[in-house]
Amino acid sequence: MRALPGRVLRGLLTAFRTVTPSGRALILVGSVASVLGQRLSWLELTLLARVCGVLLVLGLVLVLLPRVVRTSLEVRPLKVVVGSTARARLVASSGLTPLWRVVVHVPVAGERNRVRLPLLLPGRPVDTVLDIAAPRRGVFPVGPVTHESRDLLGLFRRTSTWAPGLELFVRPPVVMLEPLPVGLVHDLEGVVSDQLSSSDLSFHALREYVPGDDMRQVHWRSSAKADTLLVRQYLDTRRSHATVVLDDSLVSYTDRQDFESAVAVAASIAVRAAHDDYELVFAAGGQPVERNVERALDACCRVGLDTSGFVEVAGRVAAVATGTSLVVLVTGAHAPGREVNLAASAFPSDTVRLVVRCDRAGQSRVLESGGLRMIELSRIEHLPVLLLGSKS
Amino acid sequence: MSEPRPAGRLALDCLMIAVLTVVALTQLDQTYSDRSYLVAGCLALAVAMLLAVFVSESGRSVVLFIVLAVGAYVLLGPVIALRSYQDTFLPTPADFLDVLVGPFSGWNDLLTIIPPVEPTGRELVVPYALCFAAGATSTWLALRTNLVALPVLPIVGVLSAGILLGVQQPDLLEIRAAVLVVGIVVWLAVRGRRLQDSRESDRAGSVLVTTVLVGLVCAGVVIWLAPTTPPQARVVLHGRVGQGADLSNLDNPLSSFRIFTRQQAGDNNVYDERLLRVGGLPAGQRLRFVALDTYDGSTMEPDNRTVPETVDDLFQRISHEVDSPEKGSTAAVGVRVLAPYRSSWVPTTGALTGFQFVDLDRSPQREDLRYNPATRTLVALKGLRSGDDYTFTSTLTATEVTRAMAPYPVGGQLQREAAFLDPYIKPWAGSAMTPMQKVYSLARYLRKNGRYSDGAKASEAAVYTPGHGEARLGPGFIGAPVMVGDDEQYAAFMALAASRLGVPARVVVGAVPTKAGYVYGRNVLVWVELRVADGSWRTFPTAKFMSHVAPKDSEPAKQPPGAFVQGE
Repeated sequence: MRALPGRVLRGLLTAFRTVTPSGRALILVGSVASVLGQRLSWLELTLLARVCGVLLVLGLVLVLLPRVVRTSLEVRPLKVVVGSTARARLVASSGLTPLWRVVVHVPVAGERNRVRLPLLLPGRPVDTVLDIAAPRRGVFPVGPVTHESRDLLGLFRRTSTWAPGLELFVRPPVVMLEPLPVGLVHDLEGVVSDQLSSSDLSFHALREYVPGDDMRQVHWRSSAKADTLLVRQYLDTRRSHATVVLDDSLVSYTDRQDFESAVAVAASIAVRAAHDDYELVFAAGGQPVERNVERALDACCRVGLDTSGFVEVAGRVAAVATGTSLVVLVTGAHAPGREVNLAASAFPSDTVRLVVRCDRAGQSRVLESGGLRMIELSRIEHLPVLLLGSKS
Repeated sequence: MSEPRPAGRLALDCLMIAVLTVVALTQLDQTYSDRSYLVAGCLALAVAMLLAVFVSESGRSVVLFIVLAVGAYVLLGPVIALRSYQDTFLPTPADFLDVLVGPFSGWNDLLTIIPPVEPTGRELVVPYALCFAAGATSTWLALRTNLVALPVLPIVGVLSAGILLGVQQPDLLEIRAAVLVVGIVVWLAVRGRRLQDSRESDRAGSVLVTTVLVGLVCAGVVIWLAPTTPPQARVVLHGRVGQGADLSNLDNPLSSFRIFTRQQAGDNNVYDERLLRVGGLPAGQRLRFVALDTYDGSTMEPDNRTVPETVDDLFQRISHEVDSPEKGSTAAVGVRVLAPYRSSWVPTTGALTGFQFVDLDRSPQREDLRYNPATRTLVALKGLRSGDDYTFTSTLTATEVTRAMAPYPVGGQLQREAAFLDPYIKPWAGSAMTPMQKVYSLARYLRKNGRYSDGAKASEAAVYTPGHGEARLGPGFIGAPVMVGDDEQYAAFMALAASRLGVPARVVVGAVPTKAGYVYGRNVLVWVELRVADGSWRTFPTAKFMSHVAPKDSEPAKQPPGAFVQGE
């Protein structure tokens, strides 16, 4: 009940916004004319007041007439890479009466976008396709589809939502990388890989002996039955666990473009790690830690330059990423070496720790400093080669 | 105003301001006798708007604009409004003062003269100031603010001032109202639309489409909504300001009516004298001297503010023309005033529309003239003398009255000072007849039972005295065994009794000229005018209620009123 006055106030505010500046002016002039015209019996002002009144009533009726429309908005694909184009498809059909030249607003990435629909007939959905260019990384709201009812003079306007809004994810460009260096920690909890192995914990099948096989793997009982030597075949169970941490602090980067490269680097490594069946822990700055590559890429869309410290982020990630075998820290040219070292030291020293610094102004090279492998990257195209180099 | 203003918007705003202000100003068309007011107004408007556009577009402050506007107003005022260049090439300091004071005092000049006013002096300062102020503020507000309604208000101000200073029943009222209403609504819609579209980067054509649409809709609505207010209810300042002329020391031709009747030869008697020579009066048309409608218990007199529910019942100055809302045929009459006519009342007929002394040097007499449009009485305060010959034009309206007509509706009792008559006319007041039938019945009773004497005979002079005071009209006339009187008593009684019976009535002294165009003393008449439902006053001649039978020595008593009414 406490919310009631607030709700009333909000209702009044909405009603006030329904009336456009013209409408307000007509109400003002009409009221003044009405009072004066009545008091003084002046035909001119009486007439003015009446005309204003009639126009206001007509306008209100026109605006309040319900327009039954079924609309749906879909965007395909919903996730695109920078530079490509998505398509928004607006399907609309009228409910009861044909509607002509209806204008709807489909805001895309905060920009107003007026769409004039063709003639709408009841029960006949009409497609309208909008091309949405994705010039930069990010998450862009598409819609909601709103319709503004107006009268002829624009005295009133009423906005109604015809279809809810969607989010278009524009992902950073990803470069193809060579397989990542393999972390080999055999573990009972490891993940069974599709690579066959002669000795592991995950039994796969028996096969005929091939010279060179370990005699210890000969399954004597089966060999006796089959009258030929059979050896046990296993699948590798590897706990290959990659952790990618993206620094999103403003001070670490020379400019935005370096940051965009860093996001692209982090995304590329995450995609490769997923491809290699790595278990992934991905942290894009202050965004929540993700374990799924799709969600990691969504996080890449969302991340922006922020003030969260690199060391805290690394610490937070290290707390969840236990048993990781590969840590990639992605940062910019201006991240202080001490902080980078601190961030790296949050992870156990027996893991492979890799720091990628994105610096357009510098040179692409691999450095080794204080037990850390450091890749300085001037162009993202150099990343596959540098990673290969750092593996050896 | 960061972004540059499209030239189209500026042009549209200026066009609307100019058109609407000029149309609003034409409200004063009947207030002035010529269109020089429109010239002054348009020039002021043009100067003010140009100044506003120039200062606004060069991005200067409002303070500079006000300083420049006041300067231009004072400097150009003598040339545009006072037209001082016609007398002297350079305006005098007094002219500048007139331009500054004019807006505050000029309207008084306008309102104490019955329109139209001849713009000879400061009268044009009012339209000049109105248009200058409205043009400057409206243009400045339209160019400098995004508020939609504000620039319209100065124009509504001009309209209001024009209505207040104008006449009550202007010509082209509906057309002017329609143009103003459509213009104002279109301008409001276009200005409002412009605000919305500036956020939407919308098309320029829609403004035009809107304009046309709004214009059509409004025109339809305006035609559909016919005016419903009665024209008399329209509030104007004419008649509400001022008291009218003081009439207390003027002659009363009703009280001194016996100088026009055949009497023993005396100093003043003019029975056989030529009073006036009249030319151009349509045959049968009565010449009216004065209408008397106020009764104080002893005499009937003319006065200011005597006609209820009108605003033009004041004796006010006139110029050569007089505005009249009446419709009818026009008469152009010339009157030569002869020496025996010694009165202040200027004989006219119908509703006066123009007046001119033949001798153009009679400007002092012109200053003395006061006219009351409601009683249609013209007076020269210092008296009309031999040689004050004049011509006038007037509109002739219907004068007939019939028994079937309805009287003008009145609230409450009229002529309170004549309440002493009520016991005598009780049989009529209590009957089931309509008020007009009561008046006709009473008139017939007077005509049948009354006797005529103007006291010319020596034997009658002491008995049938002049006067129409309470004693003479009550016990001395209607209450007497034999009702004897002349035109004075009959007309005064008839007018007062009719008023008490619910029909507004007044006494008029006038004359019907002979065929040769002369008015002798014997041609001077008294009659009663009754006000009928449409507000007009109709002639009820003495023939309807006055007997011409002389009283005999042994007269039988009159018929009792009660029995007479029973027989009706």
